Amino acid sequence: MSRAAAALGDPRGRRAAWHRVPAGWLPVLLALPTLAVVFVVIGLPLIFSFGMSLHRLNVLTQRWVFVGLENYTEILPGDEFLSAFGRTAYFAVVTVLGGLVVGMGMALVLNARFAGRAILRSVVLIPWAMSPVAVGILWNWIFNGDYGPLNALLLDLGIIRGPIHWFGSGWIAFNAVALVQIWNQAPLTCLLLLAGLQSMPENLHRAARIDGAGASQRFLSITLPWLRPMMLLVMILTTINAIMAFDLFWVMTRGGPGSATTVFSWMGYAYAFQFFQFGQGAAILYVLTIVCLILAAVYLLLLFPKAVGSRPQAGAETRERLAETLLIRTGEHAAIARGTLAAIPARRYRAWLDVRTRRLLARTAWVAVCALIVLWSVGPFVWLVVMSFTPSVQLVRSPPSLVPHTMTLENYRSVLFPSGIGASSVQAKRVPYAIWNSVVVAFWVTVVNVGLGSLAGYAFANAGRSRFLRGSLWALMLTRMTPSLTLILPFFIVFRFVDLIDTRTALVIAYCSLILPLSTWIMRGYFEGMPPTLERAAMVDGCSRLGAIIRIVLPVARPGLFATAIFSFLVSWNEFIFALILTETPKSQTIPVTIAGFLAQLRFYDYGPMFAASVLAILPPVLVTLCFQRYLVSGMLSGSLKG
Amino acid sequence: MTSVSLRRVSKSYGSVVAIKSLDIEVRDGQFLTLLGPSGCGKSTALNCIAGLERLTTGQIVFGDRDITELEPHERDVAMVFQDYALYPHMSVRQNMSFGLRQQHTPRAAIERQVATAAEFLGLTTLLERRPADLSGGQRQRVAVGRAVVRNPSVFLMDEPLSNLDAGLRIRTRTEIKRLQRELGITCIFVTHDQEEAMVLSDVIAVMRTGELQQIGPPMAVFRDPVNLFVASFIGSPAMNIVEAILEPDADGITCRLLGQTVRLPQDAVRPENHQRLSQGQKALFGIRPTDVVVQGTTSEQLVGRAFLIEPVGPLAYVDVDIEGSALRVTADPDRLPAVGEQVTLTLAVGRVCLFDPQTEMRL
Repeated sequence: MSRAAAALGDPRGRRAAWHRVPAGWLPVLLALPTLAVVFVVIGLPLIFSFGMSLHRLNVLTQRWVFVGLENYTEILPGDEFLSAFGRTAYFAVVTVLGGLVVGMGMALVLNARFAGRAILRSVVLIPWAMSPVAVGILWNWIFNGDYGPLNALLLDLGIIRGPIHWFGSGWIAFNAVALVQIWNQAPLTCLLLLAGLQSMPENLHRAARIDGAGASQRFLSITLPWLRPMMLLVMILTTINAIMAFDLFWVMTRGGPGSATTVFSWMGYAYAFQFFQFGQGAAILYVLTIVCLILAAVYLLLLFPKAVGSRPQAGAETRERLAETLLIRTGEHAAIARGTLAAIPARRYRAWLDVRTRRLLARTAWVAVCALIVLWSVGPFVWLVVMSFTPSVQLVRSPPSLVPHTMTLENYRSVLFPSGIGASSVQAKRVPYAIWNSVVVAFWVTVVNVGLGSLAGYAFANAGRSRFLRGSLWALMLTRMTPSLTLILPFFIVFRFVDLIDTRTALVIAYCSLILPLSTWIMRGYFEGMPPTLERAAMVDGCSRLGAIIRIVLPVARPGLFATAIFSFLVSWNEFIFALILTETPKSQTIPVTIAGFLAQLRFYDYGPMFAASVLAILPPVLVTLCFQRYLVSGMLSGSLKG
Repeated sequence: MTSVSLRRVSKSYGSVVAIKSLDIEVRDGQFLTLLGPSGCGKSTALNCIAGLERLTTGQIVFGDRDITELEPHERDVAMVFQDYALYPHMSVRQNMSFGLRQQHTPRAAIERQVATAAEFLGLTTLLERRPADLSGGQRQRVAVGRAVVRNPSVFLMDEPLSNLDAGLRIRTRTEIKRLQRELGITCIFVTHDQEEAMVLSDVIAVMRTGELQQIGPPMAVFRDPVNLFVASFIGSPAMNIVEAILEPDADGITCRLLGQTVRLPQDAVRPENHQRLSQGQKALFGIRPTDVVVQGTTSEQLVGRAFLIEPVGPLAYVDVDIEGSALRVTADPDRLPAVGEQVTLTLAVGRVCLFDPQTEMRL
């Protein structure tokens, strides 16, 4: 042994104490808890709900009567069903296309290099971070027929004489909800497209510029084709979001006026929880589920076609080498080429404006577009904040005006310290409890989902050839496409039966059905991206497999854990429909339900506190999104793309 | 086909200066290589010539045409990128004809041009394939083909060989040189690989932190480097550099290094520096491993102990320990010394380069 080797010493000592689990079994063991939970919170409810859709509840005897497919056959061909279906389809088309256009525009701007890009990138996320209920409340107020800022603006500018009751018209109301959905969802589209744009090699555009393609030509023939897979993904995600949209309808229109905004999900909700026809409700929601699953299947087929034919055939390399050698021998080709390659003169374009004017114009347009993006993303949010500082009396001025008179902290006092000086309404007194409930629920949901999700994510990333794991992975992917409305009915009945209704525990359990598949996918993406040699190196260095996971793999996957935690928090904090149905009293109501409660019993003196509560409700998710933007994007990508 | 000249070209990004007042002249049909370590500004310079970056100051002239303010496609250049930048959704044929279509070349002419270029590069059977279905070497050829069809007046190549494996890289290198010779198109090539630069170029321009160090024919740069940077950047294995003390006299220079003495001829120092030379002048003594041979015949000799032997086939490199410093030299692989053996080294004194330790310039 040389001196150098001797100097390094011989640190052989401890042996890994942990007994080895047979290598193939560890992933299965790690995935098992998650799979079990997913089966219990998604699989069983789906089965239960299917069973329910075959029955009808006799209201008098409180007995379930088996009716076979009658619920389906009665509802499916009906006019009510067909028009709800049509409205859902219209809503999906409008919001998907609108979101794509808006999101693409924002992504193209954000992909350019300019000062302030980082700020702008954060700012565009604000609408997405806000909970749909808060979004609905905000926009509902903007469109308010008596006092709304839209009327106020038009009146201030002298465009209209008197306030317009926007939601009196079914057509306007429906499209207004669609607009709000686009506003809320466009950041998601923008973020995904932006990720696609950033993965595009810069040299592609350089090559095209040298080839003489102008900006619009490059967008059409380089950028769009490059983004195609991403656009497909975006379209499917937003389609499913549009089909499942519920919160906005609940807050803004409640299916009305008449049935002008009764989409599919609202119809199912109305049957089940307003008319208490559980059987029919379950049937409608089951059809919704099937539509979503079909879309999901299309998604999988389009995005992950079998990798056949996309690889160069075996032996291509050898053949190519042969060709290479031949090529060098046949040097006389070149002499021919010199004669035959025609000289193509470079085309020169006559510009209609000189260079300086063009640059100035481009600069101006650029600033205008950026300003527009800021206005679109932050304007409504800022207005919400302004309103939360405005005394209720001034919010209901007639005629409405955008100019606020006075500012006050009273709204915040009444929702944060209801027992202090001054009075608070019944609903305002609930806000502190609601915030506390939201914090507790979000905390536990995050803990459970990061824990289980990372174990399962690791397992799936190392699934290898295990058929069981690969199969269950696709099952997980499909469950992400299940509309939560379908699960609520069974949850409601089962929780009532086991006396868990109106508890925070019920919410934590229910939220696992939304988040656990997502967190597993995100973590799987992270673990897949990790070099497998890392773990082997740790094992060579004397770690047991579990030791390697704990000491090496988990610390390296920290960004993934972070992203998962952020997603769990955001989803559970903003979730509305589960909380609405599974809670009844302030004991367990979360903040979105409490804000919605303001709407249900709206009195004019509660407007101010309602907006204050809304600001409090959106502050945590907005702050989290702004601070951890980077993790969000990577999480979203590994959660939805890699597969 | 045109000459290219860069006149006092500078480029800075905010306060970061990427290129400082670059003056380069390429004659019609010449092959120029911009050589330097990463971050030396060579790619920026190429992008400036292509029109992908706007100059901060200076002027670029093709032939007698000032093209400083022109858009890339108006300059009649074609470029091969390091990552090839093939349009992934287009077939090889579409990739090659894209540029011509943008120039509104008639369809028939495009077809003829693509067919000729494809045959010439052995791509005829691959025309309908997508880039994803090609091997690395094939993609590289398509990238070259896309440049060739344009039949531009200047070829720009940004490290086009660095993504190929070693064997293919050497074959493709030959191919590119032949292509350029046969087509007679002026070519500007960027690389950090000094061997590639030596093999390909008519003229090498060595750059460092945005500044041109030396420009000249490959062997001139190799044999007669202007400063320590060029000397150590060009040539592999790298030049040996040891500290020395010079004692010039009437008919030569006595050079004390590593506790021994070597006698150098008068012309080891450039004539203009003879005046500056004082007794006991400190210098850096540089000699390439190939110019020091174990047990030769000349009289200028050093003695040391061999401690590491690396046969590479036609010759062997021997690391020799002299007074605690390592000197890399060459030996006949059939008559290798043993490790630990005392060896006598013969220097080709005509090839020694002396540098000023302060300025690092040639003495």
